[in-house]
Amino acid sequence: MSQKNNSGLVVEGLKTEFHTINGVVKAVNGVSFEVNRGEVLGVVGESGCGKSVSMMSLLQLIPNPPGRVVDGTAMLGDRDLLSMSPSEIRQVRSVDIGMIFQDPMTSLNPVLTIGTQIAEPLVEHKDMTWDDALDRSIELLEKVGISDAARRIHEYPHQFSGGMRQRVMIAIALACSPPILIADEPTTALDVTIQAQILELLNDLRGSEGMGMILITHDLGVIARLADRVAVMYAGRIVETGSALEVYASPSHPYTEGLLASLPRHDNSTNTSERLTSIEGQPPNMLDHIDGCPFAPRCSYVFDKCHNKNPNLFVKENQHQVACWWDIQDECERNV
Amino acid sequence: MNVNEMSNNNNVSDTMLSVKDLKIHFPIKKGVLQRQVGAVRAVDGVTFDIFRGETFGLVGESGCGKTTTGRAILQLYEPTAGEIVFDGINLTHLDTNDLRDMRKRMQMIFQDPFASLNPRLAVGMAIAEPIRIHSGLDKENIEKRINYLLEVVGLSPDVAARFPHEFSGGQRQRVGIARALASEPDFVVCDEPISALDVSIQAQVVNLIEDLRSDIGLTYLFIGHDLSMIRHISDRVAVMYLGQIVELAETNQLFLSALNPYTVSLISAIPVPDPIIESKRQRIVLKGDVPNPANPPKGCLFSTRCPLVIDECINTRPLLKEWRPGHFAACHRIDEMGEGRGLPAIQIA
Repeated sequence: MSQKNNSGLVVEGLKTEFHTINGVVKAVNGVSFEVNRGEVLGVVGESGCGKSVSMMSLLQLIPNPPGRVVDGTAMLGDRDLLSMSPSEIRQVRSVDIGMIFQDPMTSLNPVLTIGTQIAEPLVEHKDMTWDDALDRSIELLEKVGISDAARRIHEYPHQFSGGMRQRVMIAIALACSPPILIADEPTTALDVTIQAQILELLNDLRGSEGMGMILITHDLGVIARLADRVAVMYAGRIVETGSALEVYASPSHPYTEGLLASLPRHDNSTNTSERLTSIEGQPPNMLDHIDGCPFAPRCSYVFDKCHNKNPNLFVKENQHQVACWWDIQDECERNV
Repeated sequence: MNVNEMSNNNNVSDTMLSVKDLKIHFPIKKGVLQRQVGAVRAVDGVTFDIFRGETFGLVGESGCGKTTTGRAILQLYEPTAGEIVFDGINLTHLDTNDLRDMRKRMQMIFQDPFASLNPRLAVGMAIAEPIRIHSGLDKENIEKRINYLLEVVGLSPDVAARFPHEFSGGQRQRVGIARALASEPDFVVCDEPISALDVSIQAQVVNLIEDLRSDIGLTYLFIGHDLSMIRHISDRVAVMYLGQIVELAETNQLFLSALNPYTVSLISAIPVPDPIIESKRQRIVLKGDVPNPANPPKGCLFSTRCPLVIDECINTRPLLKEWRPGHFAACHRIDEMGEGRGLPAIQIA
């Protein structure tokens, strides 16, 4: 057990499809990443790009049918999450990988007290008695910054505000001290001042618990604040990945470049009245079969090759990888 | 000088809209008899002017009353107290017919393009409705006008026969904008028009909204919670907290030298998309939550969370005062703090 706890999560070639009346949606189309303990991997992309589906695939949370994980491995130590039996994966979901969902309003059970919901995984998976588990719940609530925890474990979710509920969700995810935490848009439903509190808390936990964290968001600011490494997703694939410093300092995929350029910045005092640079067009319909690069129709660097073949990730430098023909073409020209 | 005198300083003809001490309280009813036991003070004494041709940003967290203020301006809520004067006409005392005439000059772009369009109405019909009601044009001219409006918002006239489900979020928002423009308004309330859209689409819609302002000569009230976007689009900004305006200033003034501690912490809470800046940045993480608007603090509304709170803040509520020309803020401690001293610097660049 302890040996497994030291290892991170390594995902390779993950593919998830949904079979619908209108055809097959390749929601996740060959995604590979890894996250080590004490490290935050930020996954960024627009709605429908497959970032949440990839994480749900890992924990076998994709409803089947219509969804199906068709390929790939997800190694947690020497165990493959994708080939586990239902009872094994249930154990993993609370003991090895904690998960925080986007909407704290709907992801708690409204008819159970907060204490019961935090204690449940401890009783279930750690063989604690209810009394011990409730004591531990109080500790956990204090750790996530809820004051008067001994009284509040007897309260119900509706007695908590949005930010407080998200803290409770984090406490539940932390209950069995999982080595890996998946946070799916943990602050999207919250106000900015509450978002700042939750991000601070997650950052502290990364340090104090040494957790590996996968942070899914569409907010490039949140990633910049917390993440060590970044993976940018577009149309079911990772199109750019690298250390946060590399990706933000020299975004190399035209999509990443466009995203960063389209954001107004409140921190610089230069002329704010100039127009925003926008990425024209829209993300592709995932039902369509695309031969080339899915970003090609919106890309300003597009050339012939982009329409014919979808580029794979290639190493640019150090950890920095990009899936774009334009970059490779540069490389070739340099070599010639 | 207080804000009520603010409009006197400006040329009256420049002022398009004046909101004067607006209050909107929603009653809380309880029991079999549905007796009123209290009130949610959604908007509690808000005063500001919007000048012709400007974009006025109204920013705050959820529940601060920014959307309620916007809707009250369009007379979608009846104010508990206060006045709304549009182009010299007091809207709060108009009868239904006169109000309808005014409505065509003031329109709204809604937050959620998935909820604000009728799913059973072809988008052309949705745009035709305000034209038919307000202009009295014949069928042929209505059609011409629909085609023109669709082109203005960057859609092809061919899409008029399509239904909302055939469009993406960004396109629906364009349809919503075309519908808002159909009655040829002078003033448009944009209620978080981009917060339901994907990041790469947001910039497209913001650029469109900005272009329309200069091309058609519109005046905007732009409501939002994304301070970076508010800074980008607004000429002046008001910050709301718990139903009141706590600071109002010209945009750069507000972002570069905010006076109210709430504004300062709000600006510092927003993550900047740059890991190098983020790692160096000092920020103020506020403790606790926004108080319940049915039972607000007696003194300063921000006193329960403010890092600079003193006894005076708990006992008396500060008034909005003009500290610099056009820069209003409500805080007891601005005098001694000077330019926000004591709070970590918010300028990073």
